Amino acid sequence: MVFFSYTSRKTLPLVIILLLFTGYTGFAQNKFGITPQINVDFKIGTAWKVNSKLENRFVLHQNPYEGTGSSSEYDNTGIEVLVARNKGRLKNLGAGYLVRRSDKDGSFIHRAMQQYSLGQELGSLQLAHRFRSDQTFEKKEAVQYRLRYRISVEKPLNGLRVDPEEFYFKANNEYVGILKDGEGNLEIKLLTALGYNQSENNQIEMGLDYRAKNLIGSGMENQLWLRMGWYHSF
Amino acid sequence: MLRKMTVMKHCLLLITAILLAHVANAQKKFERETRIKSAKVAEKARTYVESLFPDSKKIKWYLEENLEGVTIEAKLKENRSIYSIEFDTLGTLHDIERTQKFDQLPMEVQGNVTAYLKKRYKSFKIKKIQIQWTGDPDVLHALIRKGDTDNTFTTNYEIVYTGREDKDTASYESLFDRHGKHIETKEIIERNLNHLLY
Repeated sequence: MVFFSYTSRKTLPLVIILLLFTGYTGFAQNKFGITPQINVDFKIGTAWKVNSKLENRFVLHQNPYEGTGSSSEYDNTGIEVLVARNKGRLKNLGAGYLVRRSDKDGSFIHRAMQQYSLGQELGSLQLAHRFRSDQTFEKKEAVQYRLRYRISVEKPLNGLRVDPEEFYFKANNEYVGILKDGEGNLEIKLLTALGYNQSENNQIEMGLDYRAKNLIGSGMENQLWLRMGWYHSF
Repeated sequence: MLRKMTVMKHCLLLITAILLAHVANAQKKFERETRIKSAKVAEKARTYVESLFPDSKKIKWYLEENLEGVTIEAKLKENRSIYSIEFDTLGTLHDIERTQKFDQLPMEVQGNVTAYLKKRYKSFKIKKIQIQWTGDPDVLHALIRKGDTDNTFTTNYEIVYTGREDKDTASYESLFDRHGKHIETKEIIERNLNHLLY
């Protein structure tokens, strides 16, 4: 209740509609779960920054479910470290590495990442563009290559910019082109979230993260994750 | 009441500024604004803005806290420009600002501003320009309504830009006088965008 009491009367219906829309699209899908994540970063001098993310995924419902008993289960844990260099105001060039452990067979996937990101102000809106390429390595699997573009937007729910102890609305949309074993595919992600800017160094977010996978060919998969995130800067 | 409510936050801003002053010599810009309802604004300020822009239906009011104190600001769009009219909490006019494009500035101002920025930074990019008027409220009222006045008032230009010194790029807000002569510069503290980038 406290979470919503801070949001303005005018913007709250818009946020609810967007969340419901995302939810409606997702509930008829294959997988639903929660994904808590912690994201921390610290600066090295004025030009370099290290960002790391720890993310867990728990599936609460999946259909169809091939196993027996409850369809809810722990899915995976991933840890990611990315080093970025400041290339001008709100511009960063970075490279990183991710390791993710799957619960199904205890196998690990490894992923190398390269990214260029830039921020942009549009009135009271804060935009961020992220261009990323990555290569995923897994035992007994061909290397997977991906090209990704993500646009993020943040809107303050009070005033013209997000100040400490204020709420904000965040949305992002990502397009992922995939190449594996000579075959191409496409994935689209859409996130809507409500965030609380506790201070310049702490943000807490909760929202719905919808993902449409294998959009080319058969076997389309839909996932909906309830995402809870904590961002902290040292 | 409004003043009491913001005293604590104001002190916090001041302490933060003092601490940061130890690690950086450049003057920083601290500002925090909160949307407020027009009913919370002093009658004097409300009446003044409504008489300045009688046809404007969408006037937004903000409470702005900075190191100099607390002010109340009205923002509205008129003829493709954004006006900001700033008052103290009792409704006394501080200044009126209007957004402008660089090529709309007098040639003398364009030349002096460009010369200053070229001398100060390796590269720069202007993001926002506001013409700022200060003076007697009635004089400024006539200036806005009729487009001109015989009485005296002060004109300054507030320019927000990014500037690169060596390898570092930062955002600044500078104030120039009516001839384009530099008055002061404050560095704008950028927001952390990690939650949008990672």
